[in-house]
Amino acid sequence: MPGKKNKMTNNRRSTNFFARQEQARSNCRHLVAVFLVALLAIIIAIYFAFRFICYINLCTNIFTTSETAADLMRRSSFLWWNPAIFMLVFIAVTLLIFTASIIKMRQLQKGGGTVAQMLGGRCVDKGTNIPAERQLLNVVEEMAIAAGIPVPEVYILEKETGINAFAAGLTINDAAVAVTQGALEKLTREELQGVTAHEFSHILHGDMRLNVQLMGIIYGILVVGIVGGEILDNHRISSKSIVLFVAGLLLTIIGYIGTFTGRLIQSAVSRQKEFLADASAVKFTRNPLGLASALKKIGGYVYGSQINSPTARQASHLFFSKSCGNFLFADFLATHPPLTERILLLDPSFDGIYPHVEDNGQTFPSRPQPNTLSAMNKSDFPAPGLMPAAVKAPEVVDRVCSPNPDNLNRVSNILSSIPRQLKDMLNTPAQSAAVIYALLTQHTCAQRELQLNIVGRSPVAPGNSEDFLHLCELTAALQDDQKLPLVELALPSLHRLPAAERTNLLETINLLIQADGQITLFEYSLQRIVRQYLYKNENAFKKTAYFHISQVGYHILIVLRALANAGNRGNTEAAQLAFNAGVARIPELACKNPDYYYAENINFAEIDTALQKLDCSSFKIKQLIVDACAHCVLSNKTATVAETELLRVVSLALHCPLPPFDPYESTSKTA
Amino acid sequence: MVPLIVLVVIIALLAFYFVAIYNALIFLRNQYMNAFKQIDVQLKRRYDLIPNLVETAKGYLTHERKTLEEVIQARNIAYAASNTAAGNPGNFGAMQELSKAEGFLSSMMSRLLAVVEAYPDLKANQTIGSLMEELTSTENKISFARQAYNDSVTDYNVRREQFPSSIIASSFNFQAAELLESVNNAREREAPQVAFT
Repeated sequence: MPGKKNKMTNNRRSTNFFARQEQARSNCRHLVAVFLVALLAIIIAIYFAFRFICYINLCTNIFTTSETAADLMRRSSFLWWNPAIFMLVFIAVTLLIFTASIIKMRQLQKGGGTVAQMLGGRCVDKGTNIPAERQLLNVVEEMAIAAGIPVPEVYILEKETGINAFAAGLTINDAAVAVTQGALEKLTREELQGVTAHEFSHILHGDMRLNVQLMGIIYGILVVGIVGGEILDNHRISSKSIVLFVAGLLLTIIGYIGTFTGRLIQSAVSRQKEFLADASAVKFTRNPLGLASALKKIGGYVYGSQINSPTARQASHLFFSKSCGNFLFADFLATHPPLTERILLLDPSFDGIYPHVEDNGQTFPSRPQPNTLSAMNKSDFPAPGLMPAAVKAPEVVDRVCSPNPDNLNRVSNILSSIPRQLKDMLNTPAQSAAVIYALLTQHTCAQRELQLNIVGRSPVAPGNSEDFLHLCELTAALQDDQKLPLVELALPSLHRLPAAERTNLLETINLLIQADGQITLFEYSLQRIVRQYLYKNENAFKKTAYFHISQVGYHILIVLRALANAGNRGNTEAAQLAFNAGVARIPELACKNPDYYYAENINFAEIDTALQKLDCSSFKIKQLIVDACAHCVLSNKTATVAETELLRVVSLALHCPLPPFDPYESTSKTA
Repeated sequence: MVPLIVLVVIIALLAFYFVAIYNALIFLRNQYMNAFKQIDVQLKRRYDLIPNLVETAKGYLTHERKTLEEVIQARNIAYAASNTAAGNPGNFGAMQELSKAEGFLSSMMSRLLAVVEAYPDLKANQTIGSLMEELTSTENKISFARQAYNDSVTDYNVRREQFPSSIIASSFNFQAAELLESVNNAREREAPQVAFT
């Protein structure tokens, strides 16, 4: 195995930490040089584009108005080279690109954790009890010892089914390692070790500094294209705006050329580093076969190493294996060497045939969702001497996306209380669908007939009606607070349904809900959660459209009214109080003294549109909304299952998932 | 005048070069000493972990009580030996004792792992599963710590013997560091034979 040996010796030669960091830094300097050249090229291009536009402007003026001798003079004496204008363009473009680059780098320089979160990662709690996560943490700790560096933060990209991983961060002290859910489920301990070791080598070689700078620079160049694109989007061609149109077009072209060059540099640097990282991974684990087997699994797995997050392309060079495909110029732009080549270096006996990896061939059972709805403490004793709403609600905001051990304990309590028979059913998509249907089935005879009919016609759920009736009995025995957690457990399986069947599933759910002519809060929550989850890739990361609270004030009021209503059924006064407590959290709304009216029936269609609108607001507003909702729910010091369910739906719809909480546990802590 | 300046520049460059080599040697030496301490940390961790783990396992491994007791016993012996060795670090006998105890503990641990491995039902149990994970991880951590130590010792030794750093190494008395042997012949507690000046 000459190849591998060669790599190993190469690696040995530069095994010194300082030497590697120094090398990384000198690479950075080269990169900066390339960037400066690119910048100069862009400036010159933009300058000439600008002059060209001036020229067109001159000509079009001439065509629209009558040609005078003065115009002719100006046209003939048109100077292509004008130092003053060049300086102006130079300063403007430099400022633009540098500001964009620096803002992006600042963002990334906060540490590896920021990058991991940007890509949708969830930080793994050090005290986790979930076997797969425990193993991951242990493996990372082992590798930190082998590499002799501090243990980095560990993240899981929960939404990604592909097998992939990445390391990010500027120095070894703020590094973060992230693996996808797919890697966690599909890889054995040894393979995971190999993958982690590969990432550690990136940390140790100082590749991350280079990577972050690359990301910043590429973004800076990208901005030129973005500006051009915006101009193109907003101006239709007409004789008056031809100048603007040409300007937009030229900027876009220049921007794309710049980006293309940037990507070219990015991939060239990245491919080299991948080989080196593979070699170092073997040095850390002394087990080339673990890494080789992980790479083979990627080759044989349906989802491969694909990453769905839209931010992934910017960060494609950070990953363990190729995260997104290039249709054009695949070889030039590949950030990673071909899989087969990498495997052959590790395992020379590889015959090029990838093992088939089953979609459900999991090393571990699916991880329970951390944000499962909790059982609420229904006791009526608020902590003495404290206004729970004042203490509690800010904490609710802090908890968005950050479950703590208490939350996980609650979840595991709820999960263990759900009958095993039901949980076992959730492993296949079809049976999960059946469980969902059963949850929606009424127990009064009249509607039941109709609903059974609907279920019978659905192609998603199989099985005979007797099995289904048995299932209905099982679900009927569930507590209210166990139902939504069960739904959330079913979601990962449902997500494996093909697109057509998903649509069908949602249709059946709608039919079942409407069978009795009225919609309950539970039915709405269930439908909303399932829909949100199944189409998460499509509606996540929508463009932010609202930046000021006044733009969405009306919709916030709708949601708050619904929450107040859900928590205080039949008690208009209490509902009014809850509503006011929520409104008071948003000064812009409170000053308008919005009125509250109690309605027996909640208008769910209205809430749905309101939530969709709210989802397009900025995160600052979302934070205010979650805060207001939390105050509204907790204003009367108790949280019923119904209103916490709705609160969870609201937070999910806003893409700020809220872990389950207990209104009293944190209050007593603060006390 | 000019030759003098050239001479001074050359001497200055040489001096810088030698200082750089000297600093690199110091860095490598500290690195392997740190790596040695890391093994220590991991061994301590194992002492702390074993009683808890065995306590958890007792409920499930009732028919393997003997193995568990032996593990605890091995741990206690090793722990006592480590305390004696820490008391008089220079003592060759204490070190020898400790090496033996560590070797015995390691072999007991691998036996425990093998025992659990033999019961597929047990492996499916979540408590036992996490117990196995912790055991595997601890053993891995110890061997990775040893590996990291050996790696850094090799780096140091290579640098020390290479020309021209060998000149600096010999004139400033950088002594060769020793590699660790395999687990069964454990000498992990034995201080490396280096005299630091």
